[in-house]
Amino acid sequence: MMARPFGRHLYSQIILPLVAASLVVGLLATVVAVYFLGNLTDKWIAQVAESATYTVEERLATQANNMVRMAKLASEDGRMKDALRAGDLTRARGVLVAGNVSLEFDNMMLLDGDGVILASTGLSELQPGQTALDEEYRTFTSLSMGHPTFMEIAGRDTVTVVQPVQVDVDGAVFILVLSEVIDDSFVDQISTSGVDAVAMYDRSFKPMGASVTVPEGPPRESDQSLWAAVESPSPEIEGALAEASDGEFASAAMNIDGDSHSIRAQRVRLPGDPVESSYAYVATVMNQGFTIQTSRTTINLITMWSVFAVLALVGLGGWVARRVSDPLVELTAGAKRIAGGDFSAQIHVAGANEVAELGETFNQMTESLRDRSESLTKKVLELATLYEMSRALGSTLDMNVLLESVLDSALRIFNLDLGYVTIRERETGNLELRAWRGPGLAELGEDALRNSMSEWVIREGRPLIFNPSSDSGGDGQVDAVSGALAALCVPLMTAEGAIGAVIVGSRNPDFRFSSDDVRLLSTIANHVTIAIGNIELFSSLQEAYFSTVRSLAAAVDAKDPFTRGHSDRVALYAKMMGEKLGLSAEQVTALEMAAFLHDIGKIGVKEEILLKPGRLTDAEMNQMRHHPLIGANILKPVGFPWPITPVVRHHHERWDGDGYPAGLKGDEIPLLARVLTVADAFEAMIADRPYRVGRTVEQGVEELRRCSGSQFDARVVDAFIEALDDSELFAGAADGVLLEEIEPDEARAIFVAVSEGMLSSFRKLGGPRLAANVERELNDVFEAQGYPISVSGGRVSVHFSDDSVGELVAMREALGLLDETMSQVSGETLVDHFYSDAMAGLSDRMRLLAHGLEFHI
Amino acid sequence: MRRRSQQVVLLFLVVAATVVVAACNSETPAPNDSSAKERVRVSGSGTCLPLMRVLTERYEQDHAELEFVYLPGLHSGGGIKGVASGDLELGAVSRSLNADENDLGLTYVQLADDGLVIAVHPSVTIDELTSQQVRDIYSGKYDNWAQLGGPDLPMVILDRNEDESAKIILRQYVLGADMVVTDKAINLFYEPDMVEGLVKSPGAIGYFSLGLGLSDKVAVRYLKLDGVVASVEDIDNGSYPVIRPLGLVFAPSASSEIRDFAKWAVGDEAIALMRERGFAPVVSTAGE
Repeated sequence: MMARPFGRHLYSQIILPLVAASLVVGLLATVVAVYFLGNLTDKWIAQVAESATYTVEERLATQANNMVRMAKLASEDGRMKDALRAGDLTRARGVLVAGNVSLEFDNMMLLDGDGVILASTGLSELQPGQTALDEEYRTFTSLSMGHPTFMEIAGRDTVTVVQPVQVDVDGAVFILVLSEVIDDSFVDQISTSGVDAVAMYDRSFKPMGASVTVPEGPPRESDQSLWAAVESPSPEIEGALAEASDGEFASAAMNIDGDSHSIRAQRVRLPGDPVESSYAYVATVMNQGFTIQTSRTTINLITMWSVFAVLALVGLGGWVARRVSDPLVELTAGAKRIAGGDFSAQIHVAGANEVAELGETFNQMTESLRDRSESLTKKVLELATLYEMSRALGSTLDMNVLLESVLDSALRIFNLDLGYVTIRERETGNLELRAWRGPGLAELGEDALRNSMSEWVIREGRPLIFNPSSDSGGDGQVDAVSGALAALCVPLMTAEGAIGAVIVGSRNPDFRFSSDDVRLLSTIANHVTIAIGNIELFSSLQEAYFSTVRSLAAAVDAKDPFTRGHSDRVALYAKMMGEKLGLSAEQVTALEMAAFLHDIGKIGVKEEILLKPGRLTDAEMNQMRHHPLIGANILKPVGFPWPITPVVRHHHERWDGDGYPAGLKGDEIPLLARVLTVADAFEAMIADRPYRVGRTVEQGVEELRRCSGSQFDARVVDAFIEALDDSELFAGAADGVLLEEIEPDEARAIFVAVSEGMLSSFRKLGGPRLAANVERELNDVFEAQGYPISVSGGRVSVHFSDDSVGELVAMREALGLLDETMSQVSGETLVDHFYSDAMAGLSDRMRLLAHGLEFHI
Repeated sequence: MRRRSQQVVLLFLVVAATVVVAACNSETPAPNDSSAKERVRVSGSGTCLPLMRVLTERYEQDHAELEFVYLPGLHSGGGIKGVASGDLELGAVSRSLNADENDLGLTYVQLADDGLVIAVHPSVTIDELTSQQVRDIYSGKYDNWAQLGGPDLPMVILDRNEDESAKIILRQYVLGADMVVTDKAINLFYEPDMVEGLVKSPGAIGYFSLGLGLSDKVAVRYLKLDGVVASVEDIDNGSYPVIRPLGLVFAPSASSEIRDFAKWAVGDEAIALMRERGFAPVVSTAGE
């Protein structure tokens, strides 16, 4: 479908038929009006002319009838008859003259039966003796018929009545002839108003008389022209007369001084005139100018009105079409925009009709579509973010990383920039801010959190949604922590209850949270909870591994009391080296674990060999050399998450390949094993043994350097030396005043750390009740022995005076009492475990110093 | 869509054309057929002319080929002479042809018997006169109606010329051939004049055609003559004697159309028409 500019198609579909129809109707109306009006005018003129002609004819007939009656009367005149009967013509002439004095005919004659004048009076001045009446006029007289006729007497056209006069029944017949001359005044008498001119013509179209109606006012030139036209008949009049000569009327038109005139000519006969050749013509002339002008004006008016009506209709049609098509065009454009994905399309149709309703509906539809589309988009974003979040949740075991990424995701979903996550500390029960976004959140203290909505949510275990009322303005902060005006807070729910809360908020006073948002954030919170559970599970698993490893290490140490603490220290050195070598955290951990367990194989070596002071025999030495393999075999089934078995197996290999058990050489030896080898050797060198005193650190370093490249990997040795230099482990240890340089405060802190670590470990395993029992017993014992040490809630307090040597001894003995007390409750082996647990919790330096201060159990 | 709009326009044009054509048709002029008509000039007895008019008017309705032209009255003799001379096609005759006229070779057709009724102006409140009383009135014996038992009104005696058929018949049946009519009588030329005189003149007495009187419903008082009412029945059964034959003449050279009319004028339709209008038709006594 092609795009049409401005919806021309519909527009023209409405307007074109309308234009065509109105044009046709207008044209038709005009044509019909013109036709009918023209017709009507013609008809009217014809009728006026006809009626005028008839009037003239009628008046002529009346005139003739009157004359016939007069003639009858005269013919019955007794005196006349007497005179004639007596043959006294003189008297008859006298009677005739006297009669005409009253009758006033233009001419009156008495003829004998042959038409010879006996007496005459009037205008004709014919003399007696002349023949005045032709044969054709005497015919009917001889039949005793009196009749009128047109006749020329003495050169004048007349209406004449010939009347027989019978003196006696069988007497002679005379003829009385009465005439009226047809002239202008005669025509005047018989003419009528309504036409402009009436004229009479004889059989040869010679004018006999005429009458022209002259309107009042100054004489007009056109009247003269009209006179001239009828007096000496114009060709048009003559034509009409000729046409009318067959007995019918004829019409014609002529132009006088610019005005069109219609002519009607008619042949007329006198009533009862038996003479065939006796007839005349009457012509009426009528000025059509005014009529035609009226007709033209009317036609012009009608045409104008038609044009106006058509224009009005077309305009109206255009308006209507525009009213219909414009909204449709807009609708189409809107629909196209929607089709193109733009749901903001809104159309505006004024009015309250169906189209406006359609527009309204369209807008509603668009809004609904937009809402749906937006919610869909939001859902997709939610899903995408949730998916991303799930991946993030699965990809980290670091709680803080996890929470921050979750918070970012949540804020992205809600398109907000304000939010934080609080977690309730398991031990203290305090709320802690673990992740946050938004200004000013980092400095929040515990009190602020305690009063925040997260506190409520965690306590109640229910989500809390807070939207500001519309009139609250900007001062209705709902969350003091974030300063948000609208906030949504959902708890992180585990099976054991709420462990924390996620809060998102907005400082936009127009922002509102919906129940959908609650559901969404709850979903996120659930994911977080699961992830936190995973992390905790993982860390407790890790913890379990560490504990296991330390227990095993303690077991080895227990087997060989001479090397007590050896594994710990090797682990320390190995860890230092690993970090120096830039190994990954995983590898460092693996190294540390391997270090703890490297001598576990000694469990499988006979105690007499193991504990034999002095040199071993070759056989004994062979036995001894089995311990890495044994250790590897022991560890293999455990399935540690770290690859520690090969490290343990090969920690007695030598760089030059002279080591055991496999005799690997150089890079064939696992790197971790090489590191462990160095750490093991160094610790063995500097540690005291029941049968010898350990060398100094410098001697140990010297020995390492000497054997570097042969027994040890030179790179590892260099790294170790470097690490030793960096660390403060043996700072000042060179001149053998290590212990003496320890400040009493530091010694106390170490004592407190060791004893608290052991108590903490004990509490973990034995529970708070047993721990409380132990603490009570310890307090009793310390009091009984007079030590200024008290234990309460896992916390150990010391209040020694300034006697540092006695203090050190007292602390050693206090540790012994601790060992003794715990052993009574849990057994010797477990106490070892508690101890190693406590040592593991110390920093490297403190652990070393603890060994130096002989804080053993 | 375009085709449909074209059809609409076409429909409009068709309607328009129909209207225009209809308008044109309403203007159809009457056919001009006067030239085909045969002019039949009629004149003659003023008594017979009314009957002729009755007949020709009816005949013209069905026979457009003939146009009857009535000329001024001529009396019976003039009519006969006119036909003989060719100046008339039909002559109306209210008396029998005399010997001279018979010699002209014309065809005479009697159409009806017309009663001559004696009538008075409605002011004269008498119903009948005897023949003697009529004679006495016309001889000038009375000059006031009171003398005859009527109202006190002077008599106005209306008379016709001696050569008129009415006067001839009146002399034949009532007045007698030799009676001298009084000078006081007013002589009237034509029968219509007689009727007009009777209608307009109080105290007037006169005589005229019963057929004319009945067919034109002339408002005068018709008198019984010798006790006999002048009616078509009485004329038919012969009890009213004062009658004259009404007929027509035409020349031997007359056209077949005129002969057809003469035949029709004695046929059933014409007879019924004549009866209806107060004339007493007769079976034709004269053949071709």
